[in-house]
Amino acid sequence: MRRAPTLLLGALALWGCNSNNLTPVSLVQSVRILATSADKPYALPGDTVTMQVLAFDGRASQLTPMGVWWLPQPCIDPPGDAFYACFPAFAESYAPGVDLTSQLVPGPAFSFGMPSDAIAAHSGSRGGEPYGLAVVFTIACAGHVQYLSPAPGAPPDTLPFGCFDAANNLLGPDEFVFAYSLVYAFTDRTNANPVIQSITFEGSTVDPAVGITVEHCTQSNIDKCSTTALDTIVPASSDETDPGDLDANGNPLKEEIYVEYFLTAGKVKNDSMILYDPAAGLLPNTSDDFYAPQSPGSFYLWAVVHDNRGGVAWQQVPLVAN
Amino acid sequence: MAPWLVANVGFDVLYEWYDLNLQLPPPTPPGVPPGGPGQIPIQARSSGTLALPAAYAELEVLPWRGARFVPGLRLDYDTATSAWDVAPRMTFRQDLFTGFPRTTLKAGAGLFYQPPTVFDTAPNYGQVALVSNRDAQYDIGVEQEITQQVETSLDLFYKAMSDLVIAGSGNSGLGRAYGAELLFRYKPDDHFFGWMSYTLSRSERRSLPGQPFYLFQYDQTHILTLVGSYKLGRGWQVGLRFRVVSGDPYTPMTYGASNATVGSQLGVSAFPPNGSKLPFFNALDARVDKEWVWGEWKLGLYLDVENTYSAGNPFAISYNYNFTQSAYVNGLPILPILGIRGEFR
Repeated sequence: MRRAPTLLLGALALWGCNSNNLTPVSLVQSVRILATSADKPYALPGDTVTMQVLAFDGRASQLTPMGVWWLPQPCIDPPGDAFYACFPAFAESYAPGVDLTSQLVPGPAFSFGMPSDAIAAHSGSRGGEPYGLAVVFTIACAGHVQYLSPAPGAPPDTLPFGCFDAANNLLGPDEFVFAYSLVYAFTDRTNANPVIQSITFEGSTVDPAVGITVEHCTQSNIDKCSTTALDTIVPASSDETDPGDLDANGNPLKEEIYVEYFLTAGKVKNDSMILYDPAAGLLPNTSDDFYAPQSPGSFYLWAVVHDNRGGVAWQQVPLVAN
Repeated sequence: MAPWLVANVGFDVLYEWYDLNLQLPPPTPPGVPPGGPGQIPIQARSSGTLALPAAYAELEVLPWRGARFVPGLRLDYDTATSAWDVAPRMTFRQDLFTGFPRTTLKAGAGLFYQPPTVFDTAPNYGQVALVSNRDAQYDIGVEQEITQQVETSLDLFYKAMSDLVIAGSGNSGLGRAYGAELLFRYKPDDHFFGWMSYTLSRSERRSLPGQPFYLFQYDQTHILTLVGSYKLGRGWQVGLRFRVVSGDPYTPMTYGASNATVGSQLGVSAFPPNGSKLPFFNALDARVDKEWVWGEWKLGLYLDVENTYSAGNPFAISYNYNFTQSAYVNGLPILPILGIRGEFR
């Protein structure tokens, strides 16, 4: 018996998803670390690397101010390049239940020396160019920081620090962020941070000192508000060749560069947009849709540009809704 | 060979060419999180062939009235592991009453092997000195005719898995699955056939010695299925299927560290894995068939409507950016499928 192929004429229905009400990453309404940058994302062994952090307190009520601290020693070449492999060593430096403020480095900047043996001490390059890795830890906390002893059986990436208020109550994720940054060491590779030439709003360049002024949206559902084109201009010179990323013919590709948007009110359609593709270069449409805040006030908007090799740059602009 | 003895022998070969070009984060065993999105991936390139020749033999023995005994042996070779897998198997049936109502006892036992995947053995990314995943299966049951049209069966099963391939840990994994299945079957008559089955089971895995067993990611504690189909005549046939199944296990996430270099917030997976379950899945599916016959030709038209009452069956959990909020991701609502099928004898 021969059977003719079955012909399906049905139509697929839409997938159901209940995740529309989840807070988007772009909306800053809590203590946040939005980015860190290193002046040398690819450092030479022995280099001094200076880090900067972009942190913001987006809480509506700020009874206790947010502080930003750095762990004084970076973690060099953790096993498997896993950031959490650094955590067990913290038990030797920090006692649980103690305010660590005096042991941490406060402020938005931090410098460290990339060890001269960072590459030699790395356990394996996995078939690629030899490298070393420094993991730098940053904490934003609206209180004080304490070390938390790992509970028996806890996952290895359980946060090793907590943020506590004056009454020693453990604060939640709205008041606390524990972040890490990766700085690589190579002998013959360099990487420069990308450059933000400008932010454009409705096609016009935004003056970072003046910012963006819009009419607030009166719709109860922000998705029904009108949108304005928001874009970030990064010059082609920032799109460096990435010798570690080869195409099918073995030719090196360029970096991928993407922008993340953050704002304290309003909305962007896409939390992030790719600007440069490793093979295609600058993409033809990189603009995002901006939705104005639903209430008048003074707010902030940030564009954080990343390359895929640890390079970061950001620009903050005031956002006024009339 | 003889009226009471039949031998079946055969062989099969799976031979395939492959090109592997992958760039992936390093694999981690269950309960060990990945290093994060900034972790440098492993690159692996290789080309080659895989050959999986196999030979099998079994005897069908009818040693006495109402009995059927089938011992067998299967040999598999895997060029990736350069090892033979020897898998003896056996089934046995004995009718206690051969007339109506028939009662039959049955039992089976055997070894089954699954070779490591090409990802498990890939240079750089995979592991060396792996052997096949091993599974020893045991089953015992009884079949009982209730009426001329209705029969029931009850099966108890146990599976003991060993040498399971675990990322980064060789063949350190163990597994076990056990349960029971109850089946009522209405044998097809001129108009109707149908069956109802219920399975109660538990499937667990253990990645490393000393770690606790955890639920297998596809564990389904309860599976209830009812199926019925009725021929109306003139080529028309209608059918219904109702399913209730335990929700899939999942591993809850809580907020963790933020990778500030790439702009990604990571979650912390609870350990052991798969400690929570999604809500029950339930769905009623309906189908209408119409068939036309012209000599040697048959033409069939059918309408299959899955999930007729649009049950919002969650199949995953969606989290917000820092894993402090979550929501179910539901499966398909009503899904109508219109099909046409032609047959030529």
